[in-house]
Amino acid sequence: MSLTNFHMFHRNDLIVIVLYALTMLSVSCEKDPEPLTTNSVITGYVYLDDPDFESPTGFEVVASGPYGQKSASISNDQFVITGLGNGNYYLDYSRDNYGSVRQYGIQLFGNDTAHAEYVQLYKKPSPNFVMPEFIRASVVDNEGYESRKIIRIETNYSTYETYWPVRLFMHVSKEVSCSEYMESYPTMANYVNELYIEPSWLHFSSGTEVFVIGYSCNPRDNGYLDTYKNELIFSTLDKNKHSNVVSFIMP
Amino acid sequence: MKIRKIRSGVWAICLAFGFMGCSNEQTFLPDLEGNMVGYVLTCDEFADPLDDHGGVLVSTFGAAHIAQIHTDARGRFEFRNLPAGTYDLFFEKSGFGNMKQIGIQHLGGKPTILGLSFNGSNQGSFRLYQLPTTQITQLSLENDTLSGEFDFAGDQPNNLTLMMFLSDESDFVTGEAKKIVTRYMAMTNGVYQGRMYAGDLPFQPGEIVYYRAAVVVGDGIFFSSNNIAFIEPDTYINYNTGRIIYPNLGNESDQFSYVSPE
Repeated sequence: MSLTNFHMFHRNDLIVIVLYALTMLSVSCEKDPEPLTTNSVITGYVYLDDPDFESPTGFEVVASGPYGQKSASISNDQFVITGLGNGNYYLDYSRDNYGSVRQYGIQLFGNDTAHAEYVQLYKKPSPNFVMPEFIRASVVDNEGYESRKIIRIETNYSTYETYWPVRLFMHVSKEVSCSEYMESYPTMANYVNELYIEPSWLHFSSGTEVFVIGYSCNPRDNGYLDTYKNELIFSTLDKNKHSNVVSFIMP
Repeated sequence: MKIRKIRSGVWAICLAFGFMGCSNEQTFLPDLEGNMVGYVLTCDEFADPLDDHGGVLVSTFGAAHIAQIHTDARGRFEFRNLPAGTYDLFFEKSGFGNMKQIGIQHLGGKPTILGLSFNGSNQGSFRLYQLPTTQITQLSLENDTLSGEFDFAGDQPNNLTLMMFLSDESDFVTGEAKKIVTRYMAMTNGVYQGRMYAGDLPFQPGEIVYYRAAVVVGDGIFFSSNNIAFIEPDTYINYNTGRIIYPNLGNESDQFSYVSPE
């Protein structure tokens, strides 16, 4: 038997098992932190951006902090989470068929009531919505009473709705996506199969080729700031449901 | 014999490890830890944001904990597992005015986020400004109007802000100025001009008033009528001296003078 072989050395020996057991025992002796105070409260309001006027209930708010998670009790649009220990928390807001939101930076010192900044939840587009194919983008004369250029995207979609569940992302790179973009706007439909963008909204230099892609997203969802990552989050956006990329020359 | 010694050693280590694991059971808790996350915006000398906010050294000073880290290109910094407590933060980068933020309460648990809010505001984020390179070549004060001429290293801005130091003594030290005011100068008909009312200044009619100025970068340092400063994020107080620190001041101009109007 070679002593350099660990398995052979401990053959028929309980020492490895004992070593493992003691290691587990020592880890299990560590205690979770215990709060200095346990009577703090987080309260706030949730608003539903609901075109169907559903009841402003049914949402869930969960506080995550140093001692685990705790759910809110909810009355109408107000939530209250009681019995919280001191420390920093974040809140997760969710509701069926609505985009979820995370809100960082709730501080509880003890014996206090923290009021969370109000949150609005937006309804996700219908799962039946099929992302239209973008046929081409071009700069055309607006046919309205005011003579000006607009950017038109022709699609294979057909609807009489003014607001499509589509958000556009633009970049000077053809690798544009919802995570790599320079500008983003919800869309408005001009005709049954066309989207348009106001050039005055955009900050690209004249003559620049701008690539554009559309993602399924509630057009009223303007995003919230994930303050931990410093990223704008569109909670109703479906990363897997997007159009092809087309481009136009900035007028 | 050798094998027995090795086994004994392993047993001893196991037992010691087991006891050590339980030895903290009576430790007073909580002593929470958590991450502290913030953002620094670097700006040019005219307060316009730069593209790259990296390379800012951020130092955090707590009662028993000091840590340092550099920002990434987005200006983000994150101190990990910082013990709960009250901290001062100090920001510095070569060629930029420094900045200090005091009394940051860090509770531990989930991250403490500094300077950004859920609704997208970055009003409380930290800003560092490139030190001014603009030289003041001429300043005149007449009929409540301050007019200036400048040498700019780069493009001529539409406006800039001056910090004015005024005294009734010639060759005064700016730290002993009788009055310090900031004045916004805007380009008007090819000349930089700002308002400065003689009636707001603590000088007698007919008195000779000496003044110097320096370009100051930032969004504003405001003084009330009784000369109390409202501290904006581009200044901080040195608590050892009780003085306001203006980290973004350019070079002082030569001394100019005028006669306080009747």
